[in-house]
Amino acid sequence: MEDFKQIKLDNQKYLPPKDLWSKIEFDLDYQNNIKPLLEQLPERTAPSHIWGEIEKNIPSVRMRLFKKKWVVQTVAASVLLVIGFGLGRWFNNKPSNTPQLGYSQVKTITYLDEDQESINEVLDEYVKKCKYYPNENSCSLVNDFTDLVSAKAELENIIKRMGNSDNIMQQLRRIELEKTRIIRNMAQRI
Amino acid sequence: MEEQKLIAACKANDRLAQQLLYNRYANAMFTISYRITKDKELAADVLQEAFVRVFHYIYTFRGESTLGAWIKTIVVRSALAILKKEKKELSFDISEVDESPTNLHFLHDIDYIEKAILSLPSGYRTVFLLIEVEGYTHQDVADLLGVSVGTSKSQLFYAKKRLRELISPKIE
Repeated sequence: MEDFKQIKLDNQKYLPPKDLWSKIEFDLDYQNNIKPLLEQLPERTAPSHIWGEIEKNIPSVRMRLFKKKWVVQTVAASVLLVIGFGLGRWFNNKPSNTPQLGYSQVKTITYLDEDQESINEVLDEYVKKCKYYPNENSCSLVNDFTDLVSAKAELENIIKRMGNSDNIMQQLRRIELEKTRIIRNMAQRI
Repeated sequence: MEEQKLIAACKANDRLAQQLLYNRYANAMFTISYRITKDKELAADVLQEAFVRVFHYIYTFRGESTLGAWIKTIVVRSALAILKKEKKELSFDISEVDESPTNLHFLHDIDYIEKAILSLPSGYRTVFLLIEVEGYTHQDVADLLGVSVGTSKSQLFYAKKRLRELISPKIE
């Protein structure tokens, strides 16, 4: 404690700048003599025409209302367009119970003319050539065709004896389709 | 009209309120414009341009400062912009001081003080006016003029020194 009391701060260690007092004096002088005068500086009067010029360059209430109205109208028109477009699409895609017009294209496949003359020609030509085919199955088409002709004749006899029936008619249609298929195959080979 | 109501009416583009606001601040703002530009015609242009901006942008005014301070900043910016446009940019050359602010009739001749201020180079004058007359800080001035705070301080010191030189002989 004693030691601490004996320590003396060196008051001359840090010195202020030499011109500090003159600066303080200057500030005091300024604060006392000039600053108060600044508060009394006269206020100028703005030229009277300026307001008129400003008025020309700022939007009026009417203009702003017009702009607001224009924006509202634009938004409303856009909304209506979107709704109209949406409704249009919905009506176009809507499933309907009312009769609608439509069309479809049916392609018919034209097979060989099934008149007997044509069939006989194909058969004759095929028989002439099938003998030379090494493949046994080729001439078997003639046998298949003969079997079908026999089956058809048998069914026609049954109809004469017992009358027509749906089942017999269905079998006749199948025989005719099969005969046509065989004749086409024969025609492709000749 | 109370200022808050006046601001609200101006935001609604009420023409009478706008005129009332203009009348309330026109002279003070014209004075600032004139002191910065040292030209009455330019000061009128500044006032017109500044108030057009005020009414266009008043919807952005949030009351973070007083309305007067907000308008004053717009006026100062407009004045500096017009000086730049007119190629009369701020000069910080002390040699440009007008040495003859005359017609002193008595010590407190305010007109003489104003003439002394107006005789300062434009840069010194603007810094002096903004800080000593209008109450801006050095930081505000640095931001407005695009200079450093140090430059603002040194300009103010030289402006004060020069003013004292111009005025002291009359005081003593």
